Formats: sequence, C-alpha cells, structure tokens
Amino acid sequence: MISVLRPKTTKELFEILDKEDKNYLFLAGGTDIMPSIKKGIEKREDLIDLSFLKKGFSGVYRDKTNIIVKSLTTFAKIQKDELLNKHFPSFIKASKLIGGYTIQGMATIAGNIVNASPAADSLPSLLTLNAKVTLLSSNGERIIELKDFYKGYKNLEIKNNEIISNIIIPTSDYQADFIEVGTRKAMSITKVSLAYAYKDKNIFLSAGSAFAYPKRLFATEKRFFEKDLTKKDFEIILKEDVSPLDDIRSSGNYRFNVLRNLVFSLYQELQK
Amino acid sequence: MNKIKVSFKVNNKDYEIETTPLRRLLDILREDLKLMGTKEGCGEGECGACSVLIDGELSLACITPATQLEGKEILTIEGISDKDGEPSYIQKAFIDKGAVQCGFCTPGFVMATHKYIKDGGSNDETKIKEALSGNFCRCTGYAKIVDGVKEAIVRHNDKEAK
Amino acid sequence: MEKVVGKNIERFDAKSKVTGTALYADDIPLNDFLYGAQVGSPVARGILKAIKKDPDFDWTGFTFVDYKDIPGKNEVESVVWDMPFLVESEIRYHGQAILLLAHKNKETLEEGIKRISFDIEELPYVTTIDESLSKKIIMAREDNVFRTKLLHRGDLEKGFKNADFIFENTYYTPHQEQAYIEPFAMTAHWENNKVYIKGTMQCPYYIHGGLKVLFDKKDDEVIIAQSAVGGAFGGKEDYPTVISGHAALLSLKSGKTVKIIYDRDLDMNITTKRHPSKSVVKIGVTKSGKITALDMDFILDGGAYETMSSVILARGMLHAFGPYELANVRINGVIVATNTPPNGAFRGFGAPQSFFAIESQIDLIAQKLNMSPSELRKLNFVKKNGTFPTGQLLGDDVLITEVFEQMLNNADYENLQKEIAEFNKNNKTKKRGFGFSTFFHGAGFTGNGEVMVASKAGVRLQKDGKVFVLVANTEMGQGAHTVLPQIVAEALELPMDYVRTEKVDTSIVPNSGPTVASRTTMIVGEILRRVGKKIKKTLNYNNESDYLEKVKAYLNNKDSENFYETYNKPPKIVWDDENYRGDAYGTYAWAAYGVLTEVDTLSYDVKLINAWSVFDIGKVINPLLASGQVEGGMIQSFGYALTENIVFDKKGKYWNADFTNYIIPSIMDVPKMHIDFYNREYEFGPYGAKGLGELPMDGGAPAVNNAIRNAIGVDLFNLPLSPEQIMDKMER
Repeated sequence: MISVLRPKTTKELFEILDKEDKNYLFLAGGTDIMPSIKKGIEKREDLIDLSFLKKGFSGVYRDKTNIIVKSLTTFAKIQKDELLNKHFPSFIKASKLIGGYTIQGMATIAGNIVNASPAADSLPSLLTLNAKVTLLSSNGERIIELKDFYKGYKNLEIKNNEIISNIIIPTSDYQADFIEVGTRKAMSITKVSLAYAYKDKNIFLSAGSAFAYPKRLFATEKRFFEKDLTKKDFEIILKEDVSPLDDIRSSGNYRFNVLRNLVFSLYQELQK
Repeated sequence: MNKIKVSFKVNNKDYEIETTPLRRLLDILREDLKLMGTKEGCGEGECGACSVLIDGELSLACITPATQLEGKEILTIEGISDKDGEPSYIQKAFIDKGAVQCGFCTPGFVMATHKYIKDGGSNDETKIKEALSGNFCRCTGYAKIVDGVKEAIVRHNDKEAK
Repeated sequence: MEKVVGKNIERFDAKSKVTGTALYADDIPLNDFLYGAQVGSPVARGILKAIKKDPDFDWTGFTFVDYKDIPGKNEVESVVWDMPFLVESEIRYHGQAILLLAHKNKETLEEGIKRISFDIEELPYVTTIDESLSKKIIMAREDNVFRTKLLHRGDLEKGFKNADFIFENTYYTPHQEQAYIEPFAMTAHWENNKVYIKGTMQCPYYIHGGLKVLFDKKDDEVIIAQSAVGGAFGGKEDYPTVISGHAALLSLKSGKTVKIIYDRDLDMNITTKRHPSKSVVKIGVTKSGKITALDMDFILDGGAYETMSSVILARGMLHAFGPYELANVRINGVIVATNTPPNGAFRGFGAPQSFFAIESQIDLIAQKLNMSPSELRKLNFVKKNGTFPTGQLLGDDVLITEVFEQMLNNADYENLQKEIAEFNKNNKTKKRGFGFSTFFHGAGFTGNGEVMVASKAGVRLQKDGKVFVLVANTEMGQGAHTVLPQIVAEALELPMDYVRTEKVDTSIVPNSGPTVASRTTMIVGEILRRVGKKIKKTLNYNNESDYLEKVKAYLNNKDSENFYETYNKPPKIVWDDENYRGDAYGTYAWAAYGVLTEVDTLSYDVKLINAWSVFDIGKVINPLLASGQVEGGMIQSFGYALTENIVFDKKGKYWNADFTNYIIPSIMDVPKMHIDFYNREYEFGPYGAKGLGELPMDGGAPAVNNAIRNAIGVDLFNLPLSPEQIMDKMER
C-alpha cells in the first residue's frame, strides 16, 4: 500500500525522518520515480513528497570559493543560471543532455544524484569538477565529496534521516568538457560518456555508463601524462577503472572501446 | 492509497479535488476536468504528448502526481486558444506551415512552443529544436513544425511591434 | 488550368487538432461504460491447461470472456484466416490474448489482470528467421514455412556464365514498430442485436468483415465508425479487427459499452510490426558494370500466424529487383513462422526490406569494380518502354533516370564530392560520405487486387449545394480527407467550401477499399473525379449561382441524392498471379535519395547532415501536405536505417517495448531535408496524380548505408546501421 507524506516545512520533514529509521522514497521532480513505480521497478511504498519544500531548496548562489546549487533546483533553471554558465559550461552542456526539454523543466539536480544511475548525465561532469554534497539532518550538516558519495550500485553515503540540501562546486581555472554518446540526440539514454577537467599536468576524469556507479577514473588520471602511451596502453589502464556491461541499449565492448577512443583522443590532444 | 485534497488552477479556473496522491495530472485533466486536449502517448515521460505548463515550466502531465499540484497554476492546450476558441497566433502558424498531420502530438508541441516564445525564444533553429526536444512526432519529420515555430515567432514579434 | 488541385488547401481538421478539440477514440464522451482489457500469455509458446482466478480477490463487477463465448468463428478474417481472436489451447506468442476482462473502474481492472494466472505447458520457441529455418523446433505447419513464391525471368545459369564477377551477400533487417503517437483505442456497444464499433483504424471494412465472421452477422448488423486517428502507418490496418473483436465480445457479454485502451507497453508488445527479413543477394556483373543475373532469396518473418504476410511478401518480391532492366532473374520468396506476434502492414509493405538489400548490394558492387555508383546505376536503369522481370512492359513514364539526375543536380553532386574530400582531409576523427538510393513503388494494390476489391466511392449532393464525399478511406494524418474533396471540387468546378468528407461510418459510406497501398489519392481519387464529372454533366451548370439553382431544380423535393462510381481498370493491365507474370502494378512512382552523413570515428556514431530527395508522384494535388508526408516518411526511413530495432528478452517477449529504448528519431536527429517533385502527369490518375504514401519509406536505409560506405569504406549488411556494428567492422 503506497503512502505519501507531505511535509510542509523542513521541521516537519525531519520529524518524519527522525520518528522511524526508514528508507523513504523522496519525490522531487518525479521524472524517474513515476515511470519506475508504474513499471514496478521501484518497489518502495513509503514516499515523501518534497514539493512543498521546493522554494526553500531551489536556486543558485556563490560564496568566496564555490558556486552552490540548492538541491531541488531543476535542470531548466540550472541551464539559465548565469553563474553556472560562466563557471561550468561543461556542466551546463551535460544538463542539456538530460532527457529533453520537458524532463529538464521537472528533474532536479539532487534527484539525478540520488538516483545514482551509471548513465546519469550530470554526474561525470560534477565528479570532475570536484563537487561536494551537503547532507542535512536534524543534527545539522555534513559535507561529503561526491566521489565518496557512491559506494556501490545504488549504494550511497547517506543516512535515512538525511537529505541533500546543497551541491557545492568549487570554482577553478581548470578546462573542462563533457562528451556524451547516446541512443539518439535528445530524449536519449547515455551509452557512454566522458567528462574531464585539466590544468597543466593535472586531470580529473569520469565516465558514464562504464561502471556500476558513477566514479572518477583514478588509475587513468594517475598515468595520463606519461609520455608515448598508445591506444593499447589505455585499453589496459582503463580496465583498472571501468567494466561496462551489456544491456538493452548497447554492449559492454562498445562502451569500453568508445571510452578508450575518447580518452586516447584527449591524450593525443593534450600531448600537443 | 491515502486520499488527499489538492487545490490548483487550470487555465485560470480554481479547482479543489480529492484524490490519491500519485494519481496523474493527466488523468485528473482528462477524467475529472474533461479536458481532452492533453494526450497520453507513452505514459512514461518520453513522448511529450501530455505537455502542459505548471507554474510556467513545461511539464509532463503523465508523470506529475496529484500530490505535487497544491497551489499550482496549470496551463493546458485548452487555455492557449483565443477566447472564442479560435486558434491563437501559434496555432494559426502551425496550420499555415503544415505542422499538423495526425495531430496527436500537436497540443504538446503547441505548449512547448508557447513556453519557448513566452521566454523570449529567438529564431535560431538549434535553440528552437532544443526547446522542442522533449516532444516526439512520427508524421512530419519535424521540418514543418520548426517552420511553424519560426512563423509564430515572426507573428509574435509583429504583434509586439504594434 | 486547375483551380483547386495543386493548391495548398488548408486541412479540414487543422483547427480542431491545433486547439486540442479533435476527438480521438479515448476522448469521446461515454456514459455508463466498462473498461476492457486482455490478459495475455506469459510465455512465447505452450499449451494452455487452465485459467485461474485468485479466489482471494473480489471479482464483483467483472465480466470475463474466453474463446467459448464467441458466437461465430474464432478466426480473424485476413488473407489467411489462421489466427484466433482468443487462445483455445495452443499459444504461439508472448502476450497472445487468452482471457478478456471488463470492469467499470480502471484501477480495479488493472488489479484484476494481476490476479489472473494460467496453467501452461511451456514449449521451446523460436524468435528469428534463422532459428525457424533451421527447423530444430517446428512451431507452425509441417516445416515452419507459411508460404513460398517464385518470380523468374530468363536464364539464370547463362546470366551468371556471362558474368565476369559474382557478388553474393546476405542482408538482415529487424522488426520496425510503426510508433504512431496515439496508441490503440476502441469502443464497442450493442443495440438491437447490432454491434457498433468506434475507434482508431485505417480500414473500417476490414473490421466490418472480421466482426461478421466473429459474431456470425449480416452486413447491416455490424457498423464500424472511425474516430480521429493519431497516426497509423499501416499499424492500424489489420490489428483493429482484433481489438474491435475483443471490445465487442466484452460488450456482448456485459451488455454495456466497452472501451479498450492499450498503453504504450502493450501496444508495442502485441500489435503488428514490419516483417524482419533475410535477403541472400547474388549478382553477376560484367567488367564494365552490366548486370547479367540476379538471384535472390527473400525471406520474411511472418510471426506466429500467416494472416496477411503473403501480400507483403509479394510486394517485397516485386520491388526486390530494383529499378533495373534485368534479363535473368530469380527471386525466391519465403515466409517463415516464429513465436512472435504476427507481423503486418507497415508503410512500404515489404519493399523497404528488399530495397535495402538490392540498393546496398549495387553500391557494394560499384565499389568493388572501382566504378562510380551513379554510373553503375545509370548503366543498368530500366529505360522508357523497358521491361520488368515479371515481363511487364513499361510505358514512357519510366522516370528513374530523370529523378536520379535531378537529385544529383539538386545536391550539386560534383561540388559536394570535392567538399567531402576537403572535409575528410582536414578532419581526423570525423568522416563524411554521400550515398544514394534509387527506387520505386507500385501504386495501388498488387496484381489483380484493385479488380477484386472493386472499390465504390461517391458523393452526397445536398439541396443547399453542399457536397459530401462518401468514402471508407480514412484520415490518419496523411491528408486524405482534404485531398479527396479537392479532387471533387476541381471536377465540379466549384470552390472548396462546397465540398467536404462525410464521417467514415460503414452505415453511411460505401466500401471504397482500405486506406493502404498508396491507393487513396490515385485509385479512389480517380473514382471521385468521375463522380464529380458525372454531376457536372448531369446538372450542366455554367457558374456557381447557376449550380445552386440547378441543384435545387434537380433534387426537386428531395433533400439530397447520392452519386456513385466504381473502379475502372485502366486498359491493358493483365496479371497472372499463379506464375507471377504480367503487370504487377498499373503504374510506378519513382524516386531517388541522396544523403550526406558524418561518421564519428571515436564513437562510431552516424549523423545525418543533409538529405535530398526527388519524387515522381505524378501531379501533386496539395504540395504542402505532400511535402509534409514525404518529410515524415524520409525521417521514418532514417530511423529504420540507424536506430530502430526490437530486441527480445529471455522469455521471448519484446524487451524494448517503450519509447525510451525503442529509438525513433527526435527533433535533434533530423537532417536538413531538400524535397523536390518531378512533375509529370499520370494518364489514369485524377488530374495526373499517383500514389505517394509509402514511397518515401523505401529509400532511406540503403542511402544511409551507402553514405556510410562512402565515408569510411565499410560494408554493412544488417539494419539498424548501429554504431556497435560499425565498431565491429572498424576494430577488425
């Protein structure tokens, strides 16, 4: 029996969360949850509707060293935000590839983060930008690096009494980009993607649909600036980082080869 | 499922209904309000045939649950036409440019176009396509829909200039 | 000079569609009705032992129907009546309807469906042509073969002997889903022992025939009416008989109006799709590029029942030889059975499959011979007054060379080649290529089809001078209900305001045949033109006001009078179906595509940049509608080329029966299209018009394949031309 709780304030929300240690399903934009419930993929029946809290948890602002995106900000709002456009064009590019324009008006950044899909488009980009998430509970806040937020397939570093309140993206002078290869050019599910950010001999890499959960490619990052690496070398190096699967949309082999091509092409570019 | 009461506006008219929290806006519009212009093409947020505006944002009625409607202002295709039920300038532009064939996706495309023009969208073809990227059409191959949007922008600008 | 024909007359339904007031099947207000649904098989093959209803569930208010409730025959009327409406014992595909349920509450009905289970003895199943051909599992007839046909001309052995080279390759194409945006919806009710159906459909008289058999009824006891139709593309040609039958059975048993709506998942899982195909193409050719022989096995996957597959096989075979003059030909057609939902009509009707094979193979040969693919084609094109392999003597309206030249000209072929070479020189990871296809489509039914259907169409002339077109042909987005009145207005020499189409309802309109086979404008339009001319002659008026007076005088006390004509076969058309000889089609519409693609060698992704097309469809009745239909068809054919594909799960069920994973083109995927028509009037079409609907579907897949070949030099043989497939070739 599905039940939906509808807290009107943050206080009410935490009262619910503190009352019982339960893995609630949070309804934010609903773009993933609604079809998943319909198809029987999502089986949790205790929902909390966050729509009354949307105003308080929506918007983008900055402090000295970071741009801060509140958790229930939609991707349509993100795309229009001047700060984000100025500082993180790669993240804007990724956000435009989430579903189509209809989905972007509903889907929220925190929804994309907690859904933890290996194919989620915003995540590789946020990982390479060294984003952090603020976890809020009645006990206060804790801040955790996004790279440490994912521990396994749909296994997240978040307690049942916590919600994501902010996404913190440190400003930097790194060059960043995001490349997506999908099933089509809009309303597409990513078959494989690569995000990167670099400066001098430092690089951050992350790939979508390449592993059970979103992650950085640490082994590849470490060896990325070695001299005279070949395509074959990257094939070996990348195997330490990723192991893409076969599924309804593509093959693991395809995903791996394309990722290798994209990484090697970037390598050649940056060797120049 | 528990029942909830929700109040919202559709096309500037107030409604209060009692329903289950995950009941889809699409069903509320079609079954309760008898507004049949919003269509179900896929029921999972993929095709855009059920596009409406909620508080000014383009949204999909098939994946919007009742619980999220409290205090919202909803605009559907029925609220787009001129007062006498005649086609608006966007709808006329769609007709004149041949953007309509089977018509099942058309209300969704009109809503997406309305949102685009309302936000000051330009005649740039890539931007137009991005704004319509959540709507599928199987009849037209999209070319005449893009023509229709461009024509609507011209007519909108003419109107503004006057 | 025509006054109405050739003009962009506004669609009669445009206003209602843009304002959202057009009534599709699910929009029609109903009082006191039940929702109906089917409960389908959870396995792909088996023997049904028992139907079980959960005893813990409250079944109050439910209506149940199984095969025993059928008053007439449990056979779906088609070309072959081998499919049941409801399973009796043998199950042949996943989702096949076993039990029907109805209830007034939608949610309760959905819960009820979950509370039904079946005892089934599961049997091994086959889902592909090759599995079926291997005959390891026999699941239909004696040998899994529904039908074979042979088309033969000349001396094959001699032809191959005269060849300098022989090229043989095997091509595969997958299922294609029509993906109309409106899913299936149908309502049924009974009144005074008559059954009334209303809903989304292409061919009301098919349902009419089908329900007469199902309920053992007479002509006037079955009344079929069309609602607004949200796209069809062949997908609403044969299946509506099944869903109408189901709704009518539930209505009969419950005594209430019943509405069945399919959601997208069910619609994609159990309704008809384009037949998968396997084509083994063997071509002999001289050093100079002259084709000496063509030998082709053309095998279609009919699905679980034969139904209408034989006519699809026929059309596929009768286009399989391409637009070429070939002296020695053998085309061997086969339909095999698989444990998948029966495949059916889809725009192109077998021809997109065979054109993919022949037009890809022609290009491959040009490349192997180091010849220009355009020169190789021109050398072999069938010429005016040439002969097709059926022995059909073509007239002077063979326009393949003309449309091809015009397409190359529009694409500025010579400069384009230079631009491509320059682009490829400067780009390391992106490679462009230009490819084309040349093709045709026989307009109207194959062979003696039109004679057998003997379509009747007419108009109702009213006292106020208004004229209503009476046809069973449906408006499904293509514009028929605007184009047909245009033809009538032209014939009557009256402005458009006088003419509109009557609603399609079998109790009102005659059987003008189904809305299929690119026949509506050309065949039915011509009948209507004759009706118009007859009225003009009978009333003998000079101008509009004279017309109004003469109508009144003619009708005297009557409110209206109906005028009808029936199909007249153009002279000299002779077809021998037994031996596959003669005039397969009264005429052909000719076309050429050119496609500029860009292949990303990192992602193996194919982007379409530009697409040029030239169509000969005779006189264009409504240019805006025609170009819109053509653009839609081109994009549908590019979807077929690049992304559209059905995959199966482990239960033999379609795995990607949704719009998330069945990939139709989005607005971001479409190339810039450059459409052109070759205007030459056809002697026996209304004001010179030929059929148009299917033609644009035929040429996309081979043109894209050839463009990829041109860009990166790989030969692909399977649709869709996926990045995964390209990777496999390039990694090798």
